[in-house]
Amino acid sequence: MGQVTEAAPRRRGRAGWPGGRIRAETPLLVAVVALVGYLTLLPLAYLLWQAFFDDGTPTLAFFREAYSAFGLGELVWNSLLFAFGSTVLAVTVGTGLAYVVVRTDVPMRTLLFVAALVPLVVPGVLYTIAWIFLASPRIGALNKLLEPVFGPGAIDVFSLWGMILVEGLHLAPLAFLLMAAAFRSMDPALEEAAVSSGAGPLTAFRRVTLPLMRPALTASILILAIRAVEAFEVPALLGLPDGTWVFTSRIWRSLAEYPPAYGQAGAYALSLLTLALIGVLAHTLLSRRARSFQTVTGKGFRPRPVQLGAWRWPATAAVLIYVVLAAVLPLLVLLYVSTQPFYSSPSLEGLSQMTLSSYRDLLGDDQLLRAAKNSLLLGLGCATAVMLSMAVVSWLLVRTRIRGRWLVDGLAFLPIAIPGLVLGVALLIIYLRAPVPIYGTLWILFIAYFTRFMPYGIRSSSISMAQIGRELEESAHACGASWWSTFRRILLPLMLPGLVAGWIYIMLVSLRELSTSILIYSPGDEVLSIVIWEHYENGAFPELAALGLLMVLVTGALAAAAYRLSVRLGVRGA
Amino acid sequence: MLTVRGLVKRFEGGRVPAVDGISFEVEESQFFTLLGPSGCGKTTTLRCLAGLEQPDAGDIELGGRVLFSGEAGINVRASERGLGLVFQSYAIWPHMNVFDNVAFPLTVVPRGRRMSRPQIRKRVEQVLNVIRLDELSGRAATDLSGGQQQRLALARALVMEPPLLLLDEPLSNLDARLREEMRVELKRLQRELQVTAVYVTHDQVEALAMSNTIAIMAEGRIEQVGRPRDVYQHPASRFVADFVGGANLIDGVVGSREPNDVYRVETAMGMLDVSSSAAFAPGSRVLVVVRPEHVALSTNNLRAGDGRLGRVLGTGYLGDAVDHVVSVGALTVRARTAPSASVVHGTEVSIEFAPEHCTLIPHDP
Repeated sequence: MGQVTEAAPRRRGRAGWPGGRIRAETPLLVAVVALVGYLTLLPLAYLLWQAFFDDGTPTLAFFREAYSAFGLGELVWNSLLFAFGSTVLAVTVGTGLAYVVVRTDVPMRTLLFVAALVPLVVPGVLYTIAWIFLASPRIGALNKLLEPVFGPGAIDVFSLWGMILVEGLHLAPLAFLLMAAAFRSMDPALEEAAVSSGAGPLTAFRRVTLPLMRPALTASILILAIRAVEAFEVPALLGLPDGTWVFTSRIWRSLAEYPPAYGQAGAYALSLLTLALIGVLAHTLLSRRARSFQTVTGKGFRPRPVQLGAWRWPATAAVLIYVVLAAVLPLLVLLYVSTQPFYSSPSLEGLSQMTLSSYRDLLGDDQLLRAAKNSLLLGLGCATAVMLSMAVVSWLLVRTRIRGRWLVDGLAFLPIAIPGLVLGVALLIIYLRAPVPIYGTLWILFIAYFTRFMPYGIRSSSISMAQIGRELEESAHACGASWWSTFRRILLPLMLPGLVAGWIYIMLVSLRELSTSILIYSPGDEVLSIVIWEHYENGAFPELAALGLLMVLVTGALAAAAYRLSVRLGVRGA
Repeated sequence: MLTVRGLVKRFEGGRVPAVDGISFEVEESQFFTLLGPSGCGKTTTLRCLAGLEQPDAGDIELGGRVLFSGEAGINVRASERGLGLVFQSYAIWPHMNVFDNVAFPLTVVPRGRRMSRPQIRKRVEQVLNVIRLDELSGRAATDLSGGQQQRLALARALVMEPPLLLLDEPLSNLDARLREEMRVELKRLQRELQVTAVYVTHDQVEALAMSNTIAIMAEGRIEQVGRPRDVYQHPASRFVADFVGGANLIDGVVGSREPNDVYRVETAMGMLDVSSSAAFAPGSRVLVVVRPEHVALSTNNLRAGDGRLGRVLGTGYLGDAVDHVVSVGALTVRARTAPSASVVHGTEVSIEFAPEHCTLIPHDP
């Protein structure tokens, strides 16, 4: 055998590669990391600068103004109570539903699964308005129905409790999705062991299932709490008339004043950001610790549903009540309103004057058609761009031991802590001043959506990347495949079900995005949620309802089609 | 053919190196086995050969080509080494069918050097034929049984006609019967194709049955290298004696050295004449190695004098043999006999073994 090569000994590179050779995939990795850093850090830097500097001089005046004008205590209290209440409601409902639908022998499981997700395809602004139609003290359909018994205005949706109810119901599908995934990945043998040890279904759930689900549960609670703290539509539409202020509605008010109080908004935004950051930090720490708890074995198992026995019908009834409350009633009231020539509470008289004129009007509305095109373009484009780039980032996070990769993970996940309004105001000022012609085009919305939904992308692609056995990739390398061939021909196809799931979710949230868009759109670049918002402010309720229903139908169809596609692409044993 | 020198691999956070400066050579067309318990560094060594782990120091050369050199800063990437690799979990790509799995290595060759489609088809069919999977060519990879997946992984590793085939515990996921069948099959293929193979296993039966050479590893080091027969008959250390085949170890002191490398050893079971290739000075402490199958139990020859009287503490029926655990004074001796010669539990026995079946290893310091 030959002698050791005579080349002079070289020190190993920092990354641990002898000779510090640059690898073929390095430019791509650097590019996506730079993109993530740019999108996340620039708005944050702007935000800090805006809140602490007045025309270049450091100041704390904005904080003084922001917190002296209003009762700080009440603001914080309302924000926390709203976030806490709606999170508790959403997680309780979502977890219960997920267990019943995924793990038990409740009848019509597929139908219930779909029904539980309906609120997900209803944009927040539309959902909130539907609940105003249902439970406004003056015009609400439910109140008219209950008037003979409880007197006028029995349910007041314009209150903190109303806000919690609506936000909680709207967030529940997210908790349902997160928990359903966790329940599905749990080895049912663990539960069966409990049952064969003599535990009833309830005891097995409480003593075995729930403790095993704790990591997923805490993660869901934190994600939902962050979402609730940042919620804009519900506090703006339900809280403002009543004077129930939370951080998001204060920011909105500061910006709606003339001239807009950017500094003050920045001061509120920083507090909100801090709250959300605490949540994100807790979530990151917990999910890091939870790894040891993984119950996913990778071995194929066919879960045998838990026999509910006598609990079968009560469980079914509870699920149906939820479906009626969260999906059927809001959609029904929208359907009714959309067929009226002008808004009126549901009545027999109203049924006799039904008309399709508002649907006809929609088709002739140029602004609306343009908005629909914009929304679709942004939804499809953003979902695709995010998932593809985050698939590359997740490879970097999951598969390499490059130092500082946790920083990239943090940067890609951080936007989940940036409330939509805050991102909106930051982007507005950045691109108003930037020398690139981005403001006034769809690109500013694209950048905003990409930034906001990057966290969902990185999470779903990291999870699917982690589920692919490392040896599937290594065997490709051993077969002579380059990094790019391996990524394209092995990893992407195997990740596809997970990527499509993330893609569907991002498309859905893009289509209903309002809180960022409302600050940075310019006439001609409206999206559908903006049109709905404007119709509400103008009192064009029937047109709004018709538009909203169509939007729900289209997004629902899109999501269903994409879901079927992902099932077809799904690979067993991956 | 393959030369490994001073290979070291440390993992982040690991206190001791996973591979601690090992060296070995594998000759052309030989079947070389790394045998050891889990965590001994055998798989890490294999992964270093494949280029999936980067060693911290050492050299790896294959047929004169340097694959890794810590000193010269050379590390050929896994994809450029052109070796065949079979994983313990097979690593069959579930989104491809049987044909595509095998064809993959041929289709990722850079465009200039790539075979044409008909050539690829022909080559894949040829390999599937050799490996007896030709009838399942269009089947989804996930529809195969464990044994078939195993063959598929082998076909994929062999399709490039690699100079070196690396196998990482390929039989450990199969059931006992299939494992035996595949053992024979694997050996047949290796011999027919004349491919040099490095095989990793924790199963001594596999290692003894298949290998030309075995290297027994413990804690990142190679304890002994040799032909299967040598390793079994003349273990070099207590670890090897214990790990390969199991052994009774009897304390003793060398009395004198006789001609033909025979040592007279004083033990609790009397004076034994044991041959050994290793040299021992008179007076040094040694262990006498006696394989359980060489220990016979006798019930009608109970002599009290020489410390070989004992009582059977337990038995284990294995079908073709019976394992006995016998307590003899302070010692516990294992004996494996034919079922016809087995003794029931509780019986007083005297144990017998022929010194020519014994060997000596140095007593641990």
